[in-house]
Amino acid sequence: MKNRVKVARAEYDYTQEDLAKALGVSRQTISHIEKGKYVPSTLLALKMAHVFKRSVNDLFTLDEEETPES
Amino acid sequence: MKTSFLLPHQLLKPGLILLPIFLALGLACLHFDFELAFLSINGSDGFIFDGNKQNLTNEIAGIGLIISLAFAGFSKLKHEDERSLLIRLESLLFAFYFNACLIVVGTLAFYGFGFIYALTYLIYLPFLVYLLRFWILIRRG
Repeated sequence: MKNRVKVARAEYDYTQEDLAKALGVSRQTISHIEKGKYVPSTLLALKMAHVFKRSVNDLFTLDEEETPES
Repeated sequence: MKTSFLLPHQLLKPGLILLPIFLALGLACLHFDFELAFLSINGSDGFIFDGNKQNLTNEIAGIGLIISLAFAGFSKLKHEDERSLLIRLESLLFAFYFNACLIVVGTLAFYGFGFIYALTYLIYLPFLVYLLRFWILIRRG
């Protein structure tokens, strides 16, 4: 899964610590999400989308091989 | 995993401080028959203690070790979140499998009194393995 959390954070001029505080998680969790080492829960993804005032789809997208065939 | 099953964050530091003390005391009791003189009691044929003389050092070490392990391992972090809960669950499973492997090895390798020693270790090792793996992964920033 790809994510644009780091880009969104930069646009808002937030540090990892700022975002972590806004979401009620640790800074390490934000770091792991940005690196793609940790996939957040739906709840955390929705909270993140709310903070950045954009949809979850703008922040997180499936890789080609992860996308199910329709 | 519910965070309500975790202990308050205030117990984390006492757990981390007491753990090496009780671990050292436990190892000293197990391998060197270490006893603290002031913990000696004169027992009678009572409900808990049988025999003429008892020393409570190993009991104190065992109980202290399990309590400090629980405090250090199951107290909430300052920022307890979904990632730390996932690491807790994975570490618990890892510790369970690790212990299962050691039980198999211990059953094959130790006999008689040596097996009792091995069992003593196997009581505490899942906690220790869980604790080590959890802290290593949580610290990895």
